[in-house]
Amino acid sequence: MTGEKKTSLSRRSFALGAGGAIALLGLGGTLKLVGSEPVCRPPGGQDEDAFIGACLRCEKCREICPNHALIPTRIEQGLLNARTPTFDFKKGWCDYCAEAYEGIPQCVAVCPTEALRLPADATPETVILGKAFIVEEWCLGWQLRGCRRCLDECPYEAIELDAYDRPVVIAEKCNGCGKCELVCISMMGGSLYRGATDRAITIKPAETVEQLLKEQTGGGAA
Amino acid sequence: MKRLKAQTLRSISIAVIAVLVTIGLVSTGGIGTLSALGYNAIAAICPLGVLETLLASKLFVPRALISLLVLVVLIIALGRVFCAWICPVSLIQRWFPGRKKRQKELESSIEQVTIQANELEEDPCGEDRAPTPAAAPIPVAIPVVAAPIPAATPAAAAPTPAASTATAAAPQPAPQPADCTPSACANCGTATRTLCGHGKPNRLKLDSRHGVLAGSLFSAALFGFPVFCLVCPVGLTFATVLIVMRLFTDGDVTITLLVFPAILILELLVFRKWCAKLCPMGALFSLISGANRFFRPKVDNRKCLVTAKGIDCTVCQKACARENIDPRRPDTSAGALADCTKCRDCADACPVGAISFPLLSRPDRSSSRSAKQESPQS
Repeated sequence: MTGEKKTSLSRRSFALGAGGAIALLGLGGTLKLVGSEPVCRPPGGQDEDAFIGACLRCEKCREICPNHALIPTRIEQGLLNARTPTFDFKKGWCDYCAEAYEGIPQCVAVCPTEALRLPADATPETVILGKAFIVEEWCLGWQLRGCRRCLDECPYEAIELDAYDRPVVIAEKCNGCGKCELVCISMMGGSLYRGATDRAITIKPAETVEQLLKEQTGGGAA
Repeated sequence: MKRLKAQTLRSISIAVIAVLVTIGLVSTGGIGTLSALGYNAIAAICPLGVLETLLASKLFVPRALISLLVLVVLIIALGRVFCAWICPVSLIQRWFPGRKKRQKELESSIEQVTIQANELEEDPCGEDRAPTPAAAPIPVAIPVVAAPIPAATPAAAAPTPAASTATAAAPQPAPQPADCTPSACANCGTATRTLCGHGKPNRLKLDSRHGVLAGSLFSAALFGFPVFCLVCPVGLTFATVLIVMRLFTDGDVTITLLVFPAILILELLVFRKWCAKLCPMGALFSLISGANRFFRPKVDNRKCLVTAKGIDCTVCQKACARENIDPRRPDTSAGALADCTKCRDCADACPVGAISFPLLSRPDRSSSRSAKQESPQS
């Protein structure tokens, strides 16, 4: 390749290099085909394609989060997602760094490749991290035990009580900050409903919640 | 105090950085991993990562480009120091040593040349001095055979027992073919210069790593995400540290605990020549470090057993197991000087301590002058 007799690429070396390159192309293509499970991203990472294209998995956003709300995504949620930041709302919620940094999200500020990037006019209300979803069988409010912690704590007033005093999420107002999940007492302090595998109210990516709601109403109708 | 071996120093350096990153992983300073190491928003971002994400997201991030520029300048200034002094891969490979064939070869080689050198010492110049005049008829051979010897100072070259040079070199002409092609040095007229600028043929060497580099850039552009970052052993090393810590702090049990170490084992321990054959980061660095002029290995020909005593010593070459650079003749050796990681193993291995890493290896007239001054003594 370099034209020099001694420095030219040996056949073996060429094969190895080509093999490595093909392996990477194969990996990339496979992952692109397989796709990945949607997960909640920190503020500014809502455009999944742009996010995954720029995220170096450098851990900076996770480290800087003053509420310790971010964790590395597990490989179970897709090899492509592995090590990218996602929320663990059982550890903390996203207040947009309002308390510690006057509303400047630090994860966005430290992201070295602008994988997390907010439009100039972004507000906590317009950046949708996810949507809250209530599993009615696990929810104490839905068991008519009078629990309404999520409603009390919600900073966006996105939860209301229905005719039977059961908490219901107002999807248009919810931005997925995660405070309801953080304070939900199901799965905590022994208030475990049989068969529950998670808190009664959890934040999931908007599209996942849409699908779940469809199933829930569909199942209810049937 | 006993001088620490370069290998020990390197391990300390890598460990310090690894500890720093690990502290970062559990603190909230935003230190980041080696993918983007720094404090808060200021970070040295992995140059390969910058290029990959640039191609994948088609997004010009000023911060990333500035970091890239700064790192390119640093790599030009310092060469591939990252590979030897910062990257955790070499330390991991040391923890899980493979076959020690090369190490044994190196040790036996050092032993052998040391014995040869001692024999010459014990059999002092009595015999050697005699050939000095006798060497005169051969000078045609001497400057050519041992080119790095100051051609202007045959007196300095003469003490070299011409006979032993001949006998040492003659039986094995193969190992020292470069001796016969010292054109690089002859061209620049400063014969003592081991690292003359005429070594263009060997400045840049494309090998399998560059194929992987091309593959990682192309796949990033094609599929829209940094594919190599997913399997980068540096990233996976710190990811493994993190998930193991999370196992204990958060009880986070995940298959990741098995998958990441498995990928690492495959890349670094099964394929032990990762650095020399596959690593696209090393490939990228070597493309840039071709312009590096500082801290390059320099052989002091007055000490070097080959030039000073005519012993057929290839210890430094053998010490450079990974990069295959011959510090004596980097311009014609199998590995290009651009690949030098400044690991200093050659300097450590040299039985007479003839190799140093000066800030700048200049044409070095001072040494040829001092060689002249010394010549009467010898």
